Formats: sequence, structure tokens, C-alpha cells
Amino acid sequence: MNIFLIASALFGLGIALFYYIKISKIPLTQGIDNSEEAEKLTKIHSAIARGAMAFLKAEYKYMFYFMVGFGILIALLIDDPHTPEVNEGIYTSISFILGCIISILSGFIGMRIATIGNARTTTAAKKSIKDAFSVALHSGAVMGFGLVGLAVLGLSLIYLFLETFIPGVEKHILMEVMAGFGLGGSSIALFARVGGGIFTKAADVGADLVGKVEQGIPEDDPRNPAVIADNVGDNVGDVAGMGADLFGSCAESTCAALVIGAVAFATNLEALLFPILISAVGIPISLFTMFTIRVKEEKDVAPALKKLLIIATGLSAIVMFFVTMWALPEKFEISGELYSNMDVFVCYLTGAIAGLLVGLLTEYYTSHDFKPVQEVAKASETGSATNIIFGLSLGYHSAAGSILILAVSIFIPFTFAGMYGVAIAAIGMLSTLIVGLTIDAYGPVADNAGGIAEMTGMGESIRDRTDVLDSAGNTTAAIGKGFAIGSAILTSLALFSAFLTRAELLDPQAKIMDSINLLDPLVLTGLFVGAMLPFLFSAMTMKSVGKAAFDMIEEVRRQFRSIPGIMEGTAEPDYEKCVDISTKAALREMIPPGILIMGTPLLVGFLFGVPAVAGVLAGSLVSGGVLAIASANSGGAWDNAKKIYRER
Amino acid sequence: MQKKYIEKGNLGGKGTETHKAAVVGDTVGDPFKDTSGPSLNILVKLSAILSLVFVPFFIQYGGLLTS
Repeated sequence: MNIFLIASALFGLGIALFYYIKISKIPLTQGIDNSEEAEKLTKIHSAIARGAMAFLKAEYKYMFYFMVGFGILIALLIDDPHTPEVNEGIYTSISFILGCIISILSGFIGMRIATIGNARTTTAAKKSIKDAFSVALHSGAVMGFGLVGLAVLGLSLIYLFLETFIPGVEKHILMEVMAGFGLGGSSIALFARVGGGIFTKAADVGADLVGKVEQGIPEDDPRNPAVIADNVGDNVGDVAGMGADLFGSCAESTCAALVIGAVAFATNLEALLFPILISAVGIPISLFTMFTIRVKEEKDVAPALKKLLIIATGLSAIVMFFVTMWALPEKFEISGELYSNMDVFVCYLTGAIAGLLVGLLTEYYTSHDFKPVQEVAKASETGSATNIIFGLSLGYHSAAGSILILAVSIFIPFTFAGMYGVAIAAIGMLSTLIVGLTIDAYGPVADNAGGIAEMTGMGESIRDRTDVLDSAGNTTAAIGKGFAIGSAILTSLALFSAFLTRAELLDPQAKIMDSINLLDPLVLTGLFVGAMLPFLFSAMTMKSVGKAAFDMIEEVRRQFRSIPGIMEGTAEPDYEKCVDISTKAALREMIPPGILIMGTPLLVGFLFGVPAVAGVLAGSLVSGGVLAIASANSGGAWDNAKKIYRER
Repeated sequence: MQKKYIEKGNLGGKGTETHKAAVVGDTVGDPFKDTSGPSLNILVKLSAILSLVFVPFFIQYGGLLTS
């Protein structure tokens, strides 16, 4: 079983390496016969790559201190007094650090390939749409296969490591120690999402407000000092941020299922490691799916991307039926309830279908092909106030449908296979993770390719081709966002179940499962505090973007004022200074919201115990899930409403 | 129907008041869709897995004010 898992992980990494080499071997200035254009392209390409690496380098310094500090805290604080012979703290700390390192590594690989593939997509667009599409898609595939390969490898290795170093220990303790791996992945995702989110929007808002509004120069104009920071930001936000987020979901939902199933499957290795197996099986399925699509002309691009997702979902459902029947026993018992392998498959299927539905619903609410965004666009006729009112209303409205789908996708698994079912549904929602990530990373590559075409002053026809790639990417990115939110909600619920399972096992006298009662004052108070957290957190991150954008605007204005010849294009703006401002702002502003997320559960548990923590978790999950959907869809709708007016 | 109406340029193109209003909406939405919204994914997951990992700590030292 272990050998199979490691083999498929290495297979996935091999595919990623193959595409990586394939993309990087393409000469950067292929097909460019004009030496001036080649020089310009090389310069812009390396400025984006340098900016991306500068941000990562600065971020890694912070991550290193955090990893060491928090690793020590884990090692000291979480030893179980019932099992003095096992040093859970130290082993959990090791799992945690491995989770951090693997998440960092996959983010790094994603950023590398995105900054290699962007300019090569631009030059490939000179030749044909088919070539450009395949360069962008294969760049994305490096991220997809690499990340899942690393996740499966990390989980299998940490299991083998623990088996070897603490042999004979009960399986549920082993799995609880492995949860440290998920914590590591998620902690890095905090840096990537919050820090990356502030970076990208400070650059974007700064570039737009001064460049477009004040100076009246177009998007992606090389005269704009913030333009490189803006393009770096696309990668930081959509490649590193999305990647770390989904890596976290994958690692955490797997850990949750491992913890919940540990007691029932203690003597059955296939069943015990079934949650890791699901991700491993996705690797060959996704490879096969990649070969099923063909793009010959412009109109094939968007359907091809959507087809990838749908075929991957269908194929994995079929394959997973047989895998579930093989790996899980026909009947098994978890927490006194009897379930069957067929029940588990139903849970898996529910998650997979719900993921696709939430994704498609997100597309409906944020694409300008449908009524909701068109209404928002029309509302702009009467000014920005009505536009904002309609956009906010759209976001809130969109939350209703998605939350109802998710509610059903919680109810069905819960009735079929209890808490284990919810965890499997969360993994099922990520059944198309590789293909999803491939498309997610494809987006910013295509977006950057367009920016580079504009900045190097390539012809209209090249820009048109990259625009086709980009807008197809935007649609599927909306679906990807739906997946990310949906899987986060299900994963969090699965973790919540695992949390209670572990507390019950550790302290059976306290009857913790029974004390989680809505009428318990601690639970109820916790619920309110928890429901408030997402709002406080959003307040902090939004203000951070505002502050960082302010710094950026000042700097861009200063450069326009003080560098002579900048508007005529005879003098070059200081791009690096803008990247530096975004980097510094991102790292500085990331700390307070980070402390809020990580500090609150710890403090509440320390002062008020497990039932209060359960209240806080439930409250923040419910209100955070709704707010996340509403925020993402309002923002997406405004973005696409504006694009309706784009003059082309 | 509506989209065709807009695409024909009836509602205004670049540089018009309508376009400006649309740009304001987009800028307001930027931190919503790319910062605070996606970061909430992390909030819901991270607080849950953190609590899962720290269960032994809560049981051993926790509930300072309630026990």
C-alpha cells in the first residue's frame, strides 16, 4: 500500500518535471526576428521573474521564524499525559515542519513555472492559438501534478516515518500526530493568501488609480511604475495563494478523515490509508484527462478548459467506485454506528458533484454572459453608487444558492456515514484537484502573457489571442474559486468532527460530544464570538489593502513627478521600488490578522475549555463561509461588469 | 438581449461616466475578491486544524476559568 502511494506520488512529480523541462527548453525569444522586440521581451520577462523571487525571498524569512517558533510551541504544549512513553509534541512538530516545507516548495515550483511560462506563451501566440494554449496549460500542469504529487509523498513519508520511530503506538495517536502536517500546510496558506492578497491588490489598485485614472494611460503600460508589481501580483495571488490554499484543503481533509477513521481501521492498512489513496488515484486519471482535449482555434479554448473539469469529475467517480469497494470493508463501525463501503462512495460522489455545482453557480453569478452581472453593469449607468448597491446585493444573493448546495452536501454524507462521510465528501470535492490547479495556474500565465504582449508593443493580433486565453481562464478561475470555498467549508467541518473525536478519546469522562449543546452557555457565547471573527478579520485585511495601496499611490505619483521623460517613454520607471513597497506592506500587514486567526482558538481553549472552542469554530465556520462566498462573488461581478464596457 | 444592447455601445464605452462608475465598482471589489474573501477560506480551516492539533493542550491545561 505504502509503496503504491509513494510510486504514484513519484509518478505525479515525474509528470510535473517532464512539463517543466518541456516549457523551460523553449527559447524565450522564439519566433522573434526583431532584435529590439526581443530585448524588450527579455527585459520585462526578467523583471517579473525577479520581482516574484524578491517577494518570495522576503516572505520565506518570515516563514522560517514562524516555523521554528511555532514548531517549538507545538513540541512543548501538546504532550498527552496518558501516554508518557510517546512524545506526541515532538513528532507533531516534525509533521508540522514537513507540512510547511512541502507547501512552501509547491508554491515555489508554481511561481517558477508561472514566471517561465508567461513570456513563452506570448511568443507562442505569435505562431498559433494552439501553441499558446498548450504552453499556458502545460505550465499550469506543472503546478497541478507537482503539488498533488508532493502532498501524497509528504503524507506517505510522514506515515512511514512515524511507523518506524514510534512503532506499536495506537493508530489514532499516529493519525493525530499526522494532523500536524495539515496544520503546517494551512499555516503557510495563511501567509500566501493574506500576504499574497495584500501584495497583489496594493499593486493593482495603485497601478490602476494613478495610471488609468490620473495619467490616462492604458492597463499594462510599461510607463506605469507599478506595472511589474501588478504582474508579479497576479502570480503571487493566483498561483502561490490559490495553490497553498488548495494544498491546505487537500492535506487537512485527508488528515481529518485519517483521524476519524483511525480507531475503526486500526488493523486494516488499505482502509486506514484510503483518504491518501483518493488523491493518489487522481494522478493517473488527470494525466489521461489532459489528453482528451484538443484546441485548434480561438473558440475551442473556453469549452476545452470546462471539459477538463467535467471529464476529470466523471472519470474519478467511476474509478473511485472500484477503489472504494476494494479498499474499504463491506461493513465497519465508527463511534458505534454501522456503515458500508457503498455508503462511503455515496459521500464521495456527493462531495464531487456539490463541488462542481458550487463552481458552476459561482460562474453564473460572476460571468458577464449571465443576467446577474449584466444587471450590475446596467446599474453603472446611473453612477457608482447604484453599481455598488447592485454588486453587494448580488454577492449576498449568491451566498444563498451555494450555501444550500453545501448544506445538502453535508446532510447526505452525515446521514450515510456520519463524520467520516463528511470528511470523505470534503476529499471528494477535491477529486479534480490536479485539473483544477492546472487551470488555476493557467489563468495568471495567460494574464501575464497578455501583459507582456502589451508591454513589448506586439501587434493587435497577438494581444487578441492572449485575450482569448485570458478570458477563458477567467471563467474557469471563477469555477476554481467556488471549489476552493466549498472545499474549505467541508474541510473545516470535517476537522471540527475530528477535533471532537480526538477530545472524546482523550478525555472520555468529560462526555464532550454530549456537552456540545446549543443551550450550554459556553457553547452559545462561543458561537457569537466565532461568528464575529470573519468580520473582524475582513475588516483588518481590507484596511491593510487600503493602507498598502495608499503607499503605492504615493510612490507611483512621486515617480511620475520626479523622473523626467517617464511619460514620453524615454526614461525607465523604478519598477523594483514598487515591488518592494508591495512586499513590505504585505509582510507587515499580514501579522495582526494572522495572530487573530491563530490566537483566538488557543486563548479560548486555554481560558474556557473544549466546549467554548467548539462554539467558536462552529460560529466562525458558518459566518465565515457565507461571507467568503458573498465577498468573492461581489468582487468578481464588479470586475466582469466593468469588462462589458471594455472598448475593443 | 441585454448583452447585445450593451455590446452595441448603447450604454457607453471607455471614458464615459458609465465606464467610470464601473471602474469604481471594480476597485471597491478588488480587496473583496482577492484579499478578504479568499483569506476567509484559511480562517475557517486554520482555526479548526489548530484546535484539532491542540486538543491535548486544551484538555491538560485548558478551561482555566471554567473548571
